[in-house]
Amino acid sequence: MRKLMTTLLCFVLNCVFLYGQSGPHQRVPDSVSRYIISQINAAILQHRVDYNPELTEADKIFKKIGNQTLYKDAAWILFEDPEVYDAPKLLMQVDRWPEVNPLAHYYIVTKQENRFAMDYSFRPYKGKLADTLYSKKYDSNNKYFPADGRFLVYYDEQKGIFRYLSGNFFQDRINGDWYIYGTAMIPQIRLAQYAVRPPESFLVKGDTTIYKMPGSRAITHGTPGRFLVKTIEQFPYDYVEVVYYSNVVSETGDKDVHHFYEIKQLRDYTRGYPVTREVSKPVVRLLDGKEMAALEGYYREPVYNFGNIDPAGIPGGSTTK
Amino acid sequence: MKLYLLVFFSFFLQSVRGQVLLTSSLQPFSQESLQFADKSLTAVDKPYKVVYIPVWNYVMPPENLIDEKTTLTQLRNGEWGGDPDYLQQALAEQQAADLITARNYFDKLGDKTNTILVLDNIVQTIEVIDGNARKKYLEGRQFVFGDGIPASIRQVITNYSPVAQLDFNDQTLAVNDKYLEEYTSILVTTVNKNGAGSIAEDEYPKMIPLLIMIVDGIGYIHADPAAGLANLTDEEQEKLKTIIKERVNVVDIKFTPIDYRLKDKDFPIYGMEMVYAYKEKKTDDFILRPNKAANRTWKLNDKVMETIAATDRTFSFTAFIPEKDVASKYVLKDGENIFTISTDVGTDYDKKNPTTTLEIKFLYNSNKFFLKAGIKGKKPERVNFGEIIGDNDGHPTLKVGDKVDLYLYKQEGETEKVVSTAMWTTDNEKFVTADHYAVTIVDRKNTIMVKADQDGYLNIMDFAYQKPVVKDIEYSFVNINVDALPQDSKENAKTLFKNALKSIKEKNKALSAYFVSNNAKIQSYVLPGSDPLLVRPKTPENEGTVLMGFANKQLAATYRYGHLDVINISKTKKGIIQDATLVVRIYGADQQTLLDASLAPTAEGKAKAEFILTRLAKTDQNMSDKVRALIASRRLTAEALSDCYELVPDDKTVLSSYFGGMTTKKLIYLNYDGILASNMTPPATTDDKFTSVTAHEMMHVYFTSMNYYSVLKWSVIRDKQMQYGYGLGKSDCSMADGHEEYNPEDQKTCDEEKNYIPAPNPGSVQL
Repeated sequence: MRKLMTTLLCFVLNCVFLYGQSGPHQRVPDSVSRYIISQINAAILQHRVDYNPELTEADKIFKKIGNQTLYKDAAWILFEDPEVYDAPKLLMQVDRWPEVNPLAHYYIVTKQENRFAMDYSFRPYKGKLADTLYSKKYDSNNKYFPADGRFLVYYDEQKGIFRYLSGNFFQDRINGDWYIYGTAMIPQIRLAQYAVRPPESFLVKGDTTIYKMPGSRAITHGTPGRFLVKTIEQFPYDYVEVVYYSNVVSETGDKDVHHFYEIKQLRDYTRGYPVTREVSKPVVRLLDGKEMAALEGYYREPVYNFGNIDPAGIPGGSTTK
Repeated sequence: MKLYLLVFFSFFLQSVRGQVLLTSSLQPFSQESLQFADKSLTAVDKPYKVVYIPVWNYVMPPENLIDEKTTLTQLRNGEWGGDPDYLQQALAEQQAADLITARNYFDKLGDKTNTILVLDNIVQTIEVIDGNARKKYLEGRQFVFGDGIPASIRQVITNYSPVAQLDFNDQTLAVNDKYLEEYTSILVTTVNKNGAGSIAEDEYPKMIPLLIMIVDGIGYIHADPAAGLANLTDEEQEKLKTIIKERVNVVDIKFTPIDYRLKDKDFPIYGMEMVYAYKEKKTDDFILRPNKAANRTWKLNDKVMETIAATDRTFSFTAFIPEKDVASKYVLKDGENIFTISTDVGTDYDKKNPTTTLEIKFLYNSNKFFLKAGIKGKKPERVNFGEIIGDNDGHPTLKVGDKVDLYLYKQEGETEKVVSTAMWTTDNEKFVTADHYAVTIVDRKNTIMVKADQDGYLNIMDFAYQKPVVKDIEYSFVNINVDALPQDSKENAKTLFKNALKSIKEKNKALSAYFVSNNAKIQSYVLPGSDPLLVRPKTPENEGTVLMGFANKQLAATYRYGHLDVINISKTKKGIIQDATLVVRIYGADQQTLLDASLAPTAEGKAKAEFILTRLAKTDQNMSDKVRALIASRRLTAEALSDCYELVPDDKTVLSSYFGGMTTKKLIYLNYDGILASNMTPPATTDDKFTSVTAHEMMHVYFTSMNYYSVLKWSVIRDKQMQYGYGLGKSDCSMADGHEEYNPEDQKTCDEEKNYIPAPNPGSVQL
């Protein structure tokens, strides 16, 4: 009996210990989770309206009242039947980030599929108070918004600070006293939407730091390799350049292993809202053998490590170092 | 050691068909000699092909390129001259770099299967002997073999060193030519003598030793490239995989070896097994043989693994864990490890009984290393890799300028041992060997990497520090877009807008602060402009006026907007609207439910109607009761319902049914030319004009954010003007939306505008 009691006591203590621990390992409180989801939901929908190539300005404007332009609400534009898709809210999961040793106030929001929770409790729809639905119209635009499953935000409930850090929505600058971590965290934070792992190593070249990151399939188009993330000392928090090299270029449809492309995406967060979707698109540039050789000298390893270049195509005729 | 200071001049001599050595003016061999070598190599019997690439490099300090003018003092001061170690290291690096290029070249060859590529690195440098600078050369060869090259040929070529030495002091190049002659000759004889028939004819019976590395239930097949497995047809490969899969009992089997990375805890799932694929005749399928006659040598990092007998076919990784296997004798290095397994095939199957050697490289991390960090001179405390130094549950404890002393430790049983050979680096290029490393926290990335020794696993450690508060952005708008303006106006426009923002920041801090955001944008424009937002309908009132600026409030309506209405309209005697109440009419499903309940009452229908009536009662009990009575008497009509409404309260959750939430965009449009040309009474200046118009438009956006409900209500009021026929009145300062005479937004914006216009000089007369 005494043994049993001891066991029970241990069990109880264990529970207290496990559930009583504080710090970033705690599970995300519902209120925080709800707030974050509602913010991100609105931001995702707005992003899909702002940068959807299938939408014209006229599609977005509801009417003009005198001089005043009245726009359509994002849900009205993006969904087939506004009465059914009334205030749609994406089903998402909020967790602390990073998974191992999470940082305070950082939350990763994951979305498995584009399913929406509908709340009709205010005005029941066909007798229903709630429902979860897919939308064909919404899904038909998915192709324009790849890597759309993860969203990183910073949210300090006490101070009321909310920042969009990574994902298919407008991304805030990392600027202000809420950000306490150094530049080494920037690539991970900014690329959290692509589920990147921490940089493997980095090179310091003058005022530029080049992080070598393990392959994220979403960035290298599903093929193995690594990619490079450059940050510039002058704008340590607002400028990120993602570079990888490839033979297979979806933008041009080229699959010749003897062609080498540099695929570079600039993310300059100082510019505010990008005017068009084109601004955030990658720049694809054909490289010649000499340039490749020069890059190898620069990185001190084969360029085909970075991205998805088939080494079979690399010319060996000349090199300079 | 300042390796990075070295400059490499590399002259990669190109080969074409087999072995032509393209020359530059700098070359170690004479033209004739090269031609002869080329001829000899071209004459090699098919199917073999030898490509010889001598690579000629200079390794020199950057500023002191070696020539006649280079003085000995210059060389001595370089501190690099006499150190043989770094020269060797320079060679190694150069070799690695050149090999990549050579390999790429090789991979591009049309027929690489039977090709041998020899990369001969010759590095010319300087050594100082007895105060004299002398040319010195370093030399090393590397090889790339095609799959079809038998082990015997590979071995001879890999191990051969020419007797002849290179000599750069010999201007005639005769000595070097001798070297080339000897080396090409050995290359030719090696492939000629051993070449005939061994692979090309694909001899049978054939026995191929295969090592299966088992990782996570997947078997990875390692074979000597010379065994030619790659030449098998897909079907043959699949058959071979299937029989191996059954034999070693794995879920999947793959040819490609992976980049192994092992950790202690992973061992139980790893194992290795030798199998032998045998084929009697070319047309037969492979079968597996246990091959008891074969002898094997298992080596780990070049040391024979003694507990594994020559007859053992398997090895389990549990042998590395002392608790699991008492016989554990093997220690993996942190970093790269190499398993070497040599095996013959037994005379039963092949009379020649050749020996095959397989090498498997993998990275290992024991996790037995950790750091001790002494923060600000305090006693060093343990920090494991993966943790962040100075991070206390997300709160950084370090400050810029703090010093952290680091020591690399190794856990050996109970004892912790400091690693005195630790190699530290911050950039992964330059390493410092020391038992201790001090880091001073700077305001940027603070990362240190360390390995236990040259081949060790590179561990990374990060630091968290309190970031000094980032300087405020000076102006509230980060984005002042002047793209639409002519080139010569752009700079001036920017300056004027910036000055305006500066003045606003001084006078109205709250207003200014609202635009400290990277979504805040000033868009300048010139009329007429191509932006549809600039178009204004022509009315008698705005005849002759210029649109100085406007705020894009980004108001968004939901599909329900059409059911909004205003009631309780209060008007002045002149018919100018002063205020109204924002309501929503009964519509859609609600309307239908109520009508249904009246027309064809069911219990369920009534319950649904009651739900709506209860809600309606919150607005007006009488109205709710009246509808209930009409339903009860089954006389409710759509017309009767059209008088009913619900109040739209100043509540975001309700409001969001009719209007989308406020966007975070803060966009104002300003007409640079218009403002510049507008008249203003002295002493107001151009700056004042810009400031007042900018502040006015900013206030529209700011006011909207603070009074969303009111702005939306006035938007509906303006929309319903024609329906109800009220006047909107005249604003003091504008006639655009938001400037209805009694709209509080009008007052606010006009006041803000006036705030930046200095009062006329006392005594002056305004006409």
